Amino acid sequence: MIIRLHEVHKFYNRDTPRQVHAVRGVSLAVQEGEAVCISGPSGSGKSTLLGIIGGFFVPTSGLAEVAGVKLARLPDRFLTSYRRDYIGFIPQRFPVIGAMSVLANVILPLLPLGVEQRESEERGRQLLTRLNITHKQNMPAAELSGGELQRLVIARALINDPPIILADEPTAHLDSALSTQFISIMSECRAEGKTVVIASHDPLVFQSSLIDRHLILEDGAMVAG
Amino acid sequence: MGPGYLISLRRQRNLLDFALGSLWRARWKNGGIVVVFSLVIFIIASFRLMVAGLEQASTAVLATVPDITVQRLVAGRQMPVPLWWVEESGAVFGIRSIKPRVWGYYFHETSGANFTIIGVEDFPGGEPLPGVAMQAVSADEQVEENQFSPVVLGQAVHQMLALGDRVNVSLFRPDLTLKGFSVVGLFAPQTGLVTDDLMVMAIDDARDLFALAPHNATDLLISVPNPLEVDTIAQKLMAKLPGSRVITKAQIGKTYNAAFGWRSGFGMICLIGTVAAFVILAWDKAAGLSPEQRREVALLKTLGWQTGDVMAIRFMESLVVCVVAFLVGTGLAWAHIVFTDGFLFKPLLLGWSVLRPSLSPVPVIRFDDVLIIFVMSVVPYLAATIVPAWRGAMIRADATL
Amino acid sequence: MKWMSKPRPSTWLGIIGGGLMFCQLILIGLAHVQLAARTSGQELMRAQVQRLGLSDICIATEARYIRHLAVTDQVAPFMDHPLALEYFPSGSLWAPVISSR
Repeated sequence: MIIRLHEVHKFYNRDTPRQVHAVRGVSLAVQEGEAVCISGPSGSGKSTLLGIIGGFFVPTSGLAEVAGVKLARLPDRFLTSYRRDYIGFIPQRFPVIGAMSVLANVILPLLPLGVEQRESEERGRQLLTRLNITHKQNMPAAELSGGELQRLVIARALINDPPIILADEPTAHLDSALSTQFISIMSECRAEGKTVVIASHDPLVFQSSLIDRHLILEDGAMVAG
Repeated sequence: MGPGYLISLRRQRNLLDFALGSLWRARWKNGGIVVVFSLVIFIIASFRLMVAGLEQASTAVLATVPDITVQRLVAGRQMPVPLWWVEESGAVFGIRSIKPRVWGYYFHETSGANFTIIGVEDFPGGEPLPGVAMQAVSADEQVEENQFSPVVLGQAVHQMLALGDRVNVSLFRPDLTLKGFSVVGLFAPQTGLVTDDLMVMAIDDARDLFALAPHNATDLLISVPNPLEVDTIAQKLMAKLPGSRVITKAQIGKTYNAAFGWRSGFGMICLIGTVAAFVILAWDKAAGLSPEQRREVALLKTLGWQTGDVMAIRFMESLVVCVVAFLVGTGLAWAHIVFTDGFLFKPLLLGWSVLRPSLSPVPVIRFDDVLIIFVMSVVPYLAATIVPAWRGAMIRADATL
Repeated sequence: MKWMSKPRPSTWLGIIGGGLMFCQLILIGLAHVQLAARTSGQELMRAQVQRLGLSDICIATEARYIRHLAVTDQVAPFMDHPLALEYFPSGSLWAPVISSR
């Protein structure tokens, strides 16, 4: 089991009038190399669940263990290292540093690791070649089209060769052609043995052959899967 | 990957590259800050260097002021000293020599300048004046020897009197009769700092010019061989001479520093305002994180950057701005002192003067001055940017979610 | 050798910083040369100060409190320059108007 969640709860603004019970007792186990899609209406807790797996925040109660790391009690510093070593994260809307070149954006995660610039650029170029945007490598990221931006963000998520890829509503701002392209890239990753977890309510994603398991969240609780 | 220190070094260089990239992306804003900051440092550094140079010149030159000066006060005003004080003081044990001196100011109406007239006992014979090439009085003047008294002029006085090749000059006594002098020497130009306004003559001629009664002098200069005895001897002189004011070398130095310190202090206070204004600007610039910058930090955190990494790039940005501005600012300050004699701050430090030696500030190279400049400029800037940088770096990664 | 064609930003910083340091050193060197020239008269001036019993340098010759501090009257009603109207400190910054007659 690469991902194991047991009775995970997450509250926001706990003990205040604005308290939100975002995740209510979710238990989940994902095998290595498995591709899972979590869907549900917006506000159902998909992103929160993804955030817990990705080490962006710790669960209020319950057990969360990913790749042997117990996330529940980790301080921020260690969550960051965990994120760096295990997680390739593809956020919604594909945030990049627009004024920097495509290649510079792709190698961002490697900078604080002390990787030699030539080596990291080489790795970045290989990924860009694989994703067919080598020709744009020196262009400012702000000038990319939606599909190219998507590939940049995927390349950036893969640069550190993480065992787990998390994607938050990756197809929400893409047309169906680009969504299909995204699914096929994810399929390749899965074929390499990476674990893929996607939060999406796009049927194109959860009905695709990529997905092994389709989980449905509703109001913070698992209703199917 | 190689050994740990190499990784750490590469990591620093990667982060520095990133910091420089982000400085470059906002190059107009950051360039403006560097320009303003350089200017601030230039002003502080020039001022500090000028003050240091003047201090050096005055302390070096004035190391030999008389050990004790004795004056006489009547109703709080300085009055001539009777010469019997010389014999009276001579009885005090431990004094090497006592020289009466007559001096005063002569206002030259045509030029508007004040000359300092000093009459000394052993002139023109006696101990030669250092830095003066005495000219032999020509045959013409020897005829009129009785009317024309010998005088040695400072270079600026010589120019103000517009003597040209002539050697004779007349000055007014208080009753507006004229007294003739003939110039027997000029002080060397490189000693202008102490001699430019001087007219040195025999003590009797000075008395005559100022219509001072005989057996009177302006003050007495007393030389004491043992510096440890100066204060004791001063006490004894005060007790012996009724109405005397006894000034020691140490007191002159102190008062002088106070008057000079007033000017540099005044300047420094103005400059502190400049620094404060700049620090506020720096704080404001660093504190107002734009939404774009917040997103950038959140993104970096998402990608596995530690808070420390984000802090490091912010610190590097500030440091690069500081160091570049420091080098440019102090470089300009050196150029200002070396090539332009510090023309910007001369008026403030020296005040106005009709007669003024052509003073070039001495470019003193002292580590503590550099340190003062550094502490007054770079440290406030770093302090002003570090807190906003730290707050900015605390933005959590989940902001991207 | 592709990496050599495009220097890294830190390399630029090194070049610019080094250049500035170099300029700084040159200027300090020039200053040092001038230091010798500008202090050349000091030995002579020390001798003059001793010979004549001077108590000050003649930077502001119009003011007793500057030129001859030893005789400062703190409560003197007028400054020593006959044309000056103001008093310290303002008077030390503004020169009197001297009309050329």
